Amino acid sequence: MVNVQLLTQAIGELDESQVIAVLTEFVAATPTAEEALNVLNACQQGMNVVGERYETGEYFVGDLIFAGELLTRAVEMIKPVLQGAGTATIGKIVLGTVQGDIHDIGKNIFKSLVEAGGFKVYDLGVDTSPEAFVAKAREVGPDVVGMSGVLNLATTSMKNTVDALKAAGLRDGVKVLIGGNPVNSEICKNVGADACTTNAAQGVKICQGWVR
Amino acid sequence: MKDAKLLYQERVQLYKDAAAHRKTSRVLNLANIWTWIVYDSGFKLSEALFDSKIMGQAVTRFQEKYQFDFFMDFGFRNPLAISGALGHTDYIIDDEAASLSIKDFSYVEPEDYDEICENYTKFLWTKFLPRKYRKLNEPGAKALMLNASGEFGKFAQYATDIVQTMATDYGVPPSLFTATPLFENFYEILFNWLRGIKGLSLDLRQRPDKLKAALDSVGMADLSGNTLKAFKQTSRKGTDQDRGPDVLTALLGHSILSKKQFEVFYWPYLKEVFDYAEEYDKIVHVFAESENSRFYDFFKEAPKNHVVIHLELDDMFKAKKEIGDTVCLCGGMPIDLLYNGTVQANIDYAKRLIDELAADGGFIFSQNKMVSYASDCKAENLKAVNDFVREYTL
Repeated sequence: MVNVQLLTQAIGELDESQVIAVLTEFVAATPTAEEALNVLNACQQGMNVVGERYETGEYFVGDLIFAGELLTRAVEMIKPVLQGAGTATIGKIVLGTVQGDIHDIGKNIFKSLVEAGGFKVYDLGVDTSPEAFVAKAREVGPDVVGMSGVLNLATTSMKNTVDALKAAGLRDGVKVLIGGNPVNSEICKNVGADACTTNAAQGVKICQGWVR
Repeated sequence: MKDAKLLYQERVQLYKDAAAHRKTSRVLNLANIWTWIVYDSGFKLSEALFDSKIMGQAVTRFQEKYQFDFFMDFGFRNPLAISGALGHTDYIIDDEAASLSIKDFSYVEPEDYDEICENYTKFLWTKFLPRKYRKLNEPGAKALMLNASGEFGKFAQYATDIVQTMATDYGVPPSLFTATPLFENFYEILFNWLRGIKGLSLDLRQRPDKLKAALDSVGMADLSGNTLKAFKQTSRKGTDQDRGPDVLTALLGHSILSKKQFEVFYWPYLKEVFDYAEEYDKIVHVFAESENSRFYDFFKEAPKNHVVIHLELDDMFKAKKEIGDTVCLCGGMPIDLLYNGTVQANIDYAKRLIDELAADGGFIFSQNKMVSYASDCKAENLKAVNDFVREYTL
């Protein structure tokens, strides 16, 4: 059986070769789906360590991008074993970079951390119209709508999206989180969001707080 | 209205005095305004970026309205006609939002680092250009290069003309971007032009030795590979009395680095330009995007009175306390206030900035972020702030 603590530690330390070695050995041992879920959980715990190290300043944005790639690779390796296993999620998020903005690095960092934090993410990509946010929210009934942006114009698009959610009668049923360079508490209030952050790890904690 | 020549001299002197922490009668106002110039002057980006006549009109019309002392850019930054002539651009223009965005890219692969170390110029010509401009691999490539050369000629002519017009008609010294020698850590060139944010993030973890070797090999350089080391050979001691800074460097890729990574992958090269400024009695303008407070320990090692640092997201009042005795600070005016705030709130904040940061010298007023898109700024606020800064005496 794989040493899950070692795996969590390796992800937390962004030790790619150790992560791959552990998972290669694990997959080769024809594990059960339940064992694969434990391994996936260990990876998620490792991403929590990454988030904590980011908050203390030990890791920075480049490390989070690398961590996202590392987690994606780890999940790809585990996925075949997971077939048929029910993965528990704590909530659903509709996520996108808002209309007029094509920056997706921050969104993707948040996505990898919040997935590791237990959420099912519906990623709408970049330059996402208010109509697209509304349509997906109506389809999947998320707990959270997450909007990301780097440009100042993104805040206008965020407000338009909140207004569109209101007009569609969906606003009261979801929490709205905005993130990225231009957001602050004043902007958050103007946009009509429930919370804002420029820190992806903190954003995950906010979302977890909403669904627990 | 002062004579343009006198204004020019006054503005250059104000820059030199601020850099040297000398008290001045008023604060210099630097326009960190980029494509918003085009929007505010009533033109479309899709017109101005491909027509130097329109760009020139936009810049002069803008100056007549706002009367800045210095500019970061006179419309040089995005010479899209040149890359367009080569059949490819990474930019997306949206006239409605007045936005110009860049697509994600990577023209350098991990295995290229050895070749970059061996011969960077050869790499640019034989690998980078054919990868970015795929039509150069097809018949007709020579005609494309000739077209691009023609566009480059027009661009160079525009640069010469607008620098001349701004100096003689408006008393504005050369813009910092393009009209001032720009040397960047090769890491920045990888980040902005060759490898991209994702590729570089992976390299920092997966092949740090190769990356470091490439940085050591190219050193501080401009986009064509001309190095600071070579530039030094032609330098004379003393700051150029016809311009503000003698050298410009820009920090953006540092925004993804931890302090520990910065020490290895950035500081040795940034220090090279600081050492040059000290040794040759020059002034270097550092355009530092993002939030920089974790790097203040390094900035404290800059030679006093030789370095101006334009900060983007930093708390300027905290920065003044921590590094303001060593470097001249630049920036401070929040663009979200310029867009969302009232005229009075903007003037009040501008006054606070000047009172608290410029009282003993060592501060250049500017917008904190690059003002680029329609929603980055309101004209009435910018006009009111500029009128206030110009008239406010210390």
